[in-house]
Amino acid sequence: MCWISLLAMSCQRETNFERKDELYKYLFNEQQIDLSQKGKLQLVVLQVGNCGACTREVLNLVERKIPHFSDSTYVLMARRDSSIEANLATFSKVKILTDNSNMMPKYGLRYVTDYIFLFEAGELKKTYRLDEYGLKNAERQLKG
Amino acid sequence: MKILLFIALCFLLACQRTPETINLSRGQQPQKIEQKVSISIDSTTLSIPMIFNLNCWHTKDINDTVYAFFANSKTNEFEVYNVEAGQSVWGLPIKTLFGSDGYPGSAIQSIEFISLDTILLLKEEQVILFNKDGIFYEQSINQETKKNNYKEGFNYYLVSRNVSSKWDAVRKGFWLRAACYNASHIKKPEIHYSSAIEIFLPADSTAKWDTLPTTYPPRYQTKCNHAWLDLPHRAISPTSHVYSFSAESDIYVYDIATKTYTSRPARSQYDTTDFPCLDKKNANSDDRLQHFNLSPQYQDIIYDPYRDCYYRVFAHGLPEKNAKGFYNDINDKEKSLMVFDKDFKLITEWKIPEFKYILDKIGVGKKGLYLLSKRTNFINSNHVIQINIINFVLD
Repeated sequence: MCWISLLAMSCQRETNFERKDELYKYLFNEQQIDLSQKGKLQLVVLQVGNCGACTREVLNLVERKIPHFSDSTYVLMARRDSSIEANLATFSKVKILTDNSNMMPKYGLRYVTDYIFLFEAGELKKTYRLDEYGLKNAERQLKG
Repeated sequence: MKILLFIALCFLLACQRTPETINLSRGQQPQKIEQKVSISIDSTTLSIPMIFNLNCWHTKDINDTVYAFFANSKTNEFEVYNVEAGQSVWGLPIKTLFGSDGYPGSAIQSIEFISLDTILLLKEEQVILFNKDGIFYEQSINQETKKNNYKEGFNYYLVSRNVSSKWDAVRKGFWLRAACYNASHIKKPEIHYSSAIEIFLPADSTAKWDTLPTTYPPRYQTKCNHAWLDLPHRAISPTSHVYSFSAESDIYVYDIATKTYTSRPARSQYDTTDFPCLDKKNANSDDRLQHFNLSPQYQDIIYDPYRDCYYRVFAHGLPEKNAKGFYNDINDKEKSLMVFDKDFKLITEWKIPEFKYILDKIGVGKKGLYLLSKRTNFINSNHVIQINIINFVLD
């Protein structure tokens, strides 16, 4: 029975982020963030400028959840957007990162979907893909 | 125990992906003309700082003068510009069309000149005509008519990435392209992709719509998932409507006189690999993006009335990563421009040197082909725009 459970688990849709290593490398090489030196950390990745990403729904969710995040909260924007920056600037705990050198695609991190990543002691603990279904999931599971 | 093993086997089988083994021919290369061809390039510079989005860019030769239409993000105006004189001709505040918070980029399928005074704007399900005084005509797709004209499950939208709408003065309406959404729920591509892709939208919203007998090629009606490579491109000449599909090397020609729809060989010499179907089950939008970024794809096709020829853009395929171990993306794609004569014989295929020009928005004028220079951060950056006039000269 245990074996069947294992098989059933292996059938589940991958919940981890498949380009986790690339994300670590990008943050370390391009944004000088060493996740292994951090405790609890939230990272919101906004694919600004890509069709279907960074919608009002996503921004509303992020703005509602951020007050409940820990002090180490980063928002990585694929492109600069002054209106999003202005809204996020009202949260003192948020550090805004921008992919100024356009290196996210080079690390395979340019998507049409926004993400929230939760890290603890350098390990990726949870990934929320903010598509239609992931938004509902994030809404339920994250405080706020 | 046997029952348990049977259940385990069922789980195992359910877990397996079923890889597609579809052998879809990539088609033949076209017949070539005998003469040699040389290329001449002339450049002109426009001091237009900060445009919003390439969807809002269009150039057109009107009475031997080339005009550019664009959305100026510095002045927040739509502007019509005389390219050669370097002068603004007329403008309209963007908020007139999109409200005070309006961003004209993503909402727009395309914008194009109908005449110097009249601009056609296409949204996914709406047609708008405006001039310097604002909107004077708009029509949304009538859902009832849409339902009556199209097969069940055909989720389509209007597309017009380059000069391609056609005003029919006799019937009073627009011929417009439509495209299928490649939705995840498509179970029967043979039905979905057999719907018409050319729509006649009458100016009178109560009049009946019409279509041409033009559809996607057979390869789209198979189990091969073409994902986002299902955009039909179209050029209109006085005698025909010519279609180019992203994943299909042949071009398809609808002859207006004979009302026939046939294919012509038009494969690029750089189209050397099998077309990859997206065989991932439950593929999400990010999987589709990766597939789109790396696959070879045919892009726009444009008719040149001054030289009676066609231009077709081919974007070469890419491996997932480059030699340095970095991921490739759509901006790394090399492109070539195929030039066909009126009988679809290949005049030349020009490999674009080192990502030098933007081929998403090609203009045609009496002096030649108008290509924008490629620069990093083209959108929202504060620099001049360089327009290059290209000519293919038969020796």
